Amino acid sequence: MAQEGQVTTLGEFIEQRCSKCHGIEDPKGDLNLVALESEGLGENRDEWLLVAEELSLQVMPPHPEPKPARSEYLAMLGILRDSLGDEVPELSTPVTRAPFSALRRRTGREIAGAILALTDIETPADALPMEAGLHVYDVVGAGMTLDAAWLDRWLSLADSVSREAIRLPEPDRIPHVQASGRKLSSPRQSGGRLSTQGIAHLTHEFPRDGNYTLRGKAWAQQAGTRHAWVALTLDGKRIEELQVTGEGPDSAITMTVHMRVTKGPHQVGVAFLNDYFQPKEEDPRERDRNVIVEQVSIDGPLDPQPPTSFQTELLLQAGEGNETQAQLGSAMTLLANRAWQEAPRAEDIQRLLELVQEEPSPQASLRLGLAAVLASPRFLLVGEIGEPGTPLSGPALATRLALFLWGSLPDEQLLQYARSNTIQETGVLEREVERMLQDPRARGLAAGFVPQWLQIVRLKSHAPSKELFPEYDAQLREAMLTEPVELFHSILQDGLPARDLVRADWTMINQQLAGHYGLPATGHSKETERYSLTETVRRGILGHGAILTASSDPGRTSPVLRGKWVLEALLGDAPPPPAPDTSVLDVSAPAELGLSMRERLKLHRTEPGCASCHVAMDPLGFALERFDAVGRTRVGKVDEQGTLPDGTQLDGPLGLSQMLTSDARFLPHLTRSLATYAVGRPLSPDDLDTLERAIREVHEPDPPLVTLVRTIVLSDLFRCQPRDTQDL
Amino acid sequence: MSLFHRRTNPIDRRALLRGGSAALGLPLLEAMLPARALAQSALTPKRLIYVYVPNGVNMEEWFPHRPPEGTTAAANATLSLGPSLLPLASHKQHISLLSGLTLDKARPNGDGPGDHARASAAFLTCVQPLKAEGAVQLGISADQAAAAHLRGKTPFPSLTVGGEAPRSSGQCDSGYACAYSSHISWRSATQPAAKETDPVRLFDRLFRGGANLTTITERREHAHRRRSLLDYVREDASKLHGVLGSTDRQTLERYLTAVRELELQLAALEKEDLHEVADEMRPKNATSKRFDRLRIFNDLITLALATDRTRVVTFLTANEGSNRAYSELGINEGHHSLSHHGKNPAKMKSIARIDRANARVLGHLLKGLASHQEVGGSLLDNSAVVYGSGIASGNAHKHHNLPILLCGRMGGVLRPGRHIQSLPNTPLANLHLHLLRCLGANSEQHGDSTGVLDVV
Repeated sequence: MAQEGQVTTLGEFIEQRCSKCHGIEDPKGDLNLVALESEGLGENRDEWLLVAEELSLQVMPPHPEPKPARSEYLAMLGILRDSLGDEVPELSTPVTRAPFSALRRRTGREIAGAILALTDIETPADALPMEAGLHVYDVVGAGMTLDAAWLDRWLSLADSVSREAIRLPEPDRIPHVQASGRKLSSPRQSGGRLSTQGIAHLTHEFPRDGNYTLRGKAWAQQAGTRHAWVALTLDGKRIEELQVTGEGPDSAITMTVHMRVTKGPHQVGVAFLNDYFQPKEEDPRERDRNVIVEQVSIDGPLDPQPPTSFQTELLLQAGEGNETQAQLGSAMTLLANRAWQEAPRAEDIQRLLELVQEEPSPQASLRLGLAAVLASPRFLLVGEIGEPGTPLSGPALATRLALFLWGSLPDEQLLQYARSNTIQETGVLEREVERMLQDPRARGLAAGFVPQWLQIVRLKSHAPSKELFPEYDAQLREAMLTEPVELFHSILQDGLPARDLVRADWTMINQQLAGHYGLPATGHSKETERYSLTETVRRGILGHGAILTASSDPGRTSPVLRGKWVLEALLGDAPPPPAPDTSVLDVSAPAELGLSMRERLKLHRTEPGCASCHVAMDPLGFALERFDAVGRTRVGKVDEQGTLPDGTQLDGPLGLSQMLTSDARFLPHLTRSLATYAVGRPLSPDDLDTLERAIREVHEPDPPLVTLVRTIVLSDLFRCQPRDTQDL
Repeated sequence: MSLFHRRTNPIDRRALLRGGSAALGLPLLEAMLPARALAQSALTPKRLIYVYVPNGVNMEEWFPHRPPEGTTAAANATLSLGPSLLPLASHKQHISLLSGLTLDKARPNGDGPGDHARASAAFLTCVQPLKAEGAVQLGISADQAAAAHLRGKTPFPSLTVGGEAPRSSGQCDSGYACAYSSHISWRSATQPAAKETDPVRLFDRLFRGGANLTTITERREHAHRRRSLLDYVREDASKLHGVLGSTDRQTLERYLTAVRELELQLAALEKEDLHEVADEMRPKNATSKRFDRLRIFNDLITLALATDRTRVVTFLTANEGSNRAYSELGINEGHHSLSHHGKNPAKMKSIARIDRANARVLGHLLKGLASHQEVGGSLLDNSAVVYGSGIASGNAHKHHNLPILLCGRMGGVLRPGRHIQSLPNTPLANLHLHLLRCLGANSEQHGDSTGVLDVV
């Protein structure tokens, strides 16, 4: 092997660094550098420029071949530049990749999935929003945001989850709501003062069916021969009546009723029942009878909630007849066993029991125990440290599998294979993958992967102009976000070809979105249903509202953005961003310049520096001009033709669908994207090699999506530690 | 429990919002200071607030149209504001207009496109961000350097607030990690400070033990339980820590650091001289109206500073490169798209309109700070508020002569009400270093600073 710094000529370099693969015998990539070198640098310019580029990026020689020193790269590029001129690129600064921790934090999305699997509780989507992105996929570098502020929020969430999951025999605290007179509403009267018959009330959202104490406090200004009568009311109905015998605030009376009230908004009030008004009465104090309501209050719910089914089931499994401490111990074991990657040891359970021993009841103990199981780094952190290239342990592999296919925790069966370290056996893994993909939880794959792959996460912060698109609302946005997830999931579960993602003539939408697309409503519900698109030009995700909206500006479509999106998200062939000093094209004010946007872009494509990318992007975007900035079909004439750099004519969305279906970049990019999402790190050259070897075994010309997923899982990329950790 | 704890003296919302020292009355004035601080009223704490607006501004409307006549010295002495800053006219005595400051590390410097990501990343760090797949490498931000200096003085070493949630994934700007565009506050080269974007949750975290617990007993119980829980997980993490290699320890070390900080926070929140905050200060429901939301955040920032929960705040009003359409201002095109106005007058006008609306929100913050009286003047008198962007004009992505305002007196070390013109290419980091020094930190250097900014 060459000593660093000794190589000085190109011949030596090729001999020592390249000839093993690019020599005389069966050269890789059909590139025989030894032969080329013998012909000299004056010949085969294109090949040498390719070599220069590979060297400038330091991708050759590949891992695990020893890497030449920087000075050596510089020397070789210098030699090439002397002969080939300035087209030889500079040595790039080494692409720095973060040292990748094999251990990462679960993402907010994965935490929500785990909580749902463990306790059957759906957490609000924004319960843990403070995640900072490092990469296209949230799993890459997850855990960068892990500081006191984040942990504070997480502990509060774990707390509220455990409160909701485990109910105490006594209610935690009895909520109390009260409103004083001036805050009560009463028709045509001010505040709590009732000078004619009527009700002063408080509207309250009762959190659930339950027992409540309702109270009303009032006093009277007496007049006439009878005392004032008042009533406590619920939704206008009298539930208690009382005579106010005294006069003035010192003789205020309180009506109290304990009763069952149903969940939802109700009005609790005090009514004045017998108004009296004689303005001509001689004694001014005898002219007017009034009631002044001082306060209305609600306490409750007073009754404990029945145990949740999660709680009941957990205690049942933990052995109902057992003595309390033993039952608590086995309940903790069950929880930790399910939630943590590694099985808990006896001492872990012992520490949990010590933690909860001061709690006043077994239920309260269980509650704190659940919070602790969730707060523990054993739940929060996933992954495994191991020697490069070695297989993952059973628990680590099972965790990775459950996160990839379900976005959730392993279930009982997978856990058994995990803890017995049998999940690594190819046969077992194959069977588990089949089983897990047929499980409804496999929607977690689509729900986690698709929005990131298609870059529609940004739809959440994208606000189309309200003025131009008043019909775009939060519901429509949700329906839009669901569509590609459902399409992907259906294609996966039904064993359909992956290319259907860009050519399916059907989709999964609800009535609102169907109406938005101008489809005849065949469904009669708000549920997502299958709609045929054969009569339309929408094909696969290319016609999805989420994509068409997210790749538009708030007020108009952007062919450039859409073209860029096709290249970037679907083909993995992102054009470089415009150079910093590029003149910015004012595409949005075509009218003022008397040019159409197409004409402006055409002009733009004539500028050197802009041309090379825009000739590739613009036609792809123009093919989608049939759809407006919120994805509706435009009627009438739309200029939707374009010519690709290779001369191919592209006509409208159908043309684009055809082009993508046959594009050689589509499937490899989809596979790489899925694999990155699956292993949670940017793929190194070595990773790509491993993946490519696995995918080469797929011989179907139009492979089902499920085959790609299965192939990734069964590859060493998924099952082993990365081999080239020192590079990362 | 002490009979004399001050928790029964909540700061009243109306008093705080109504403003003016008269509204508060002297006895209350003292009640608003922690007993500890009262004992050393000469040492009224200094506060540091950074407010960032993305996509640059319309520079033609930001600076005054006609420079004041006379010599540079005379020009420095009188402050006139550009049309975009007119909403701040009534606060002129609290504001200095800064010009000539440069953020060199937001420039490409060989890294190609990505000016937006670099602008927010470098604004407080003044370090060139690393462009790489799945990685960040930056530096500590000025606010975090300040927080490190003040650690232990307040329950929350610093507060990181945002008007827009960070993007957890996806492409943000030309190959830079999204974290750069959505964070100006960085705890270290590789760790942004988690950003709070929900006013209600922010309130609960600051004043309600994270769980809308209204009574002190409830919060005590909650704190007690939280402490045992932290004990438990710390031990758990320490056990794991022993078996890991160095790179893998990083995640766990962050976890452990967070646990330790939370323990300190809990202890500090139990101090008897802490001010309670009345329930009616809790924001009702998170409004979806953008400028209302920003105002609510500003009220909470003021409240957090007034009750000495923290002394250092960053507020990223929207993520850098944000393309939201300001429909509430009658603007239908996205902010980022508009900022590339190509000198189109209509678009430049729209940008100025956004700048003005943002200035109005800053005015709200200044008013809130100014109306809260404490020993040594108003809260604003004891604060420095740095307001601005890491991009000058969004159209050209330039990073010199940035639009920066410096508000407040910071306990008398700043003399606002002037136009402070620095020599061209003066590093923004010099301002950061100056403020850090004013805070008492003896930093030698911050980012690419070449000295302290001459503000005299």
